[in-house]
Amino acid sequence: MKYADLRGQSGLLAAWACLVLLLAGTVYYIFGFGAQRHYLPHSVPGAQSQQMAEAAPDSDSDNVSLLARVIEGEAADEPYDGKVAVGAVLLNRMQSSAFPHTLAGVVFQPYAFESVSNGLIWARQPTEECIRAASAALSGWDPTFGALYFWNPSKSVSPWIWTRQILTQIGHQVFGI
Amino acid sequence: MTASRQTGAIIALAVLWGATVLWGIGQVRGLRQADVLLQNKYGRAFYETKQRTKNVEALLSKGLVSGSPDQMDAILSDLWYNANSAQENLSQLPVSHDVVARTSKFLSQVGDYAYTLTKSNQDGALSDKDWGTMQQLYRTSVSLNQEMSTVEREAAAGSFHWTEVQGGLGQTLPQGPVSSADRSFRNMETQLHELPVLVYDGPFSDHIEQMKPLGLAGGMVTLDQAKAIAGRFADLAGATVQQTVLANEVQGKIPSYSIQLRIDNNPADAITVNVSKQGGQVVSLLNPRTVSISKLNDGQALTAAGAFLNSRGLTGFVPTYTLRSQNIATIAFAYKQGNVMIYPDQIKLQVALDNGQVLGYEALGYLTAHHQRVIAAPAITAAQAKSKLSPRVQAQSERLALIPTSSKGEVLTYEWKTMLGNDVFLVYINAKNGEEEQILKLLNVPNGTLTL
Repeated sequence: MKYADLRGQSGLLAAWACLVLLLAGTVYYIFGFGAQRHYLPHSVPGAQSQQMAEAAPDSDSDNVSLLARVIEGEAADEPYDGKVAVGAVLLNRMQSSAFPHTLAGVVFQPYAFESVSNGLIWARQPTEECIRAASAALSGWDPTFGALYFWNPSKSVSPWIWTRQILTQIGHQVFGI
Repeated sequence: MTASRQTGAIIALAVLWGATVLWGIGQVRGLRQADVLLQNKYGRAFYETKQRTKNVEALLSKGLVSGSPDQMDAILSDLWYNANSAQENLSQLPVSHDVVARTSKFLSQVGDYAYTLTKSNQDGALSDKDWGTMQQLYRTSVSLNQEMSTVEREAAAGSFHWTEVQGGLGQTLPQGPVSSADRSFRNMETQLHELPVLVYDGPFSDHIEQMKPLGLAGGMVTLDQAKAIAGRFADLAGATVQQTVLANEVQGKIPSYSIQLRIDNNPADAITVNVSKQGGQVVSLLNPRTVSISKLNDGQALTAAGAFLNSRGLTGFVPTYTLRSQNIATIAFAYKQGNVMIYPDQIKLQVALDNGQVLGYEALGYLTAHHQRVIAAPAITAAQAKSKLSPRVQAQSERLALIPTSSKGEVLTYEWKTMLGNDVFLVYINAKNGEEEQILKLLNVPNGTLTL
């Protein structure tokens, strides 16, 4: 009698535990998915682009904001000249015969930039410093004098990248050609 | 009582379990759909690339045969379009960059070369040299297409899927092979190992990468000299430098010392000055100070920029455009030799609009192009150049200008400022033969003037 009672009790407990876990899972799923959905390009609200256009209302504002997003994604923790350098690398690629010749082509080339591949560029709004670095790069500033690649030597990278000629290092990143 | 509770719990569990299964099925379906979508997108890019490279091969062979100037023009335009489209689609494939870099370069150069020929090929006939180049390009395109077919067979046989590389998402390009598609493309690249060196009059010509800077004179400077030069050059706006350190050396086009001037203890606020090893010239300067208010107007910013250049011994520069953003004015200057604007010799400055401090200096263009030029007198007069303008525009003013060509050459022109309606255009007429070399459209934006 007592034994059966206990079994009933534990069965009930298990049922409730499952219910709570499932609910927690659902809540996590909804919120987790919501956050992921935010990473997708089409969910960037028009209002945000409008703000961006106001921050730099010149004919190049679309390029400034796209470039600023990549700089934010790739060099958020780098010094200002390191940010300008990352912007310059993208623009140098446009001038190179081996890369696409448009900014969008360079930015969205598969596996070209980690922050584009994992959606980070859509998750964060670029800071004022990144927007300024993007404008400077578009105006011609290039602290690397022509680099086409950058990488962080403390992270694991393929042996191939070390066959590139290193031009300089700014902050944590190495710039090469 | 207990039994009914148990039944209730079992039913609730069953319902939840069922809901979970349905949700899971939906997820799997969604994933599959996304996978197919991506697969199709990559498939389209690949087959588009393949078709376009086939067209390139056919057009190059037709170019070798054609004897008619009109037909030749059509072939070259087609070639330019198809090669560009092939290159664009190739760069959308999910393979690492190093396995398509050479193919990409080849296609860029074919398109660029064809475009250059359409511009220069006025009388239609190909020179022996151009015919030879085209034959070389044709042979390369044949082997490229053979390799593309191999890749296509492997893709069709299912030996790789474009989307299998999804697992590699988040890896950056330099991290090496990410897919078995890479292996197939790698064979293609080895076939293109011996790309012909192409020198012609276009922006992707091989001679451009090998250009040496012309504006560096004098001997090598030591690190200590470079530090002193950086300290003298930077606009400190009253602050004193606490520490001058060598941040790094910059190799490449202009080997330089990258020197940091620290005005406080925070390295993030340091002014970075790149000083060339040869000649000790300042190539670029960046000061990260943020500017929160605008007190100066464009005229005052121009005066501050001009005074900075003069005090640094850089004389003979004329401002060409100004752009304001984030309380900073970016001002471009071009060198003026006699009465001729020398547009390749460009220097750009950034002026803080709160106190007129120079926050940025960029002279890479100037140091690359500047040299003592002997400029021949124009063969035609300004009035003759004006007669070459379209009768539909209103000519306003003119001056002589040396402009860069797409292949980094230089050509002397008359720069005519013209109006069409309310739009301003700068039209450049070759001062030797009266040909229209270039048109720039001036864009008046709320905070400056841009040229397009």
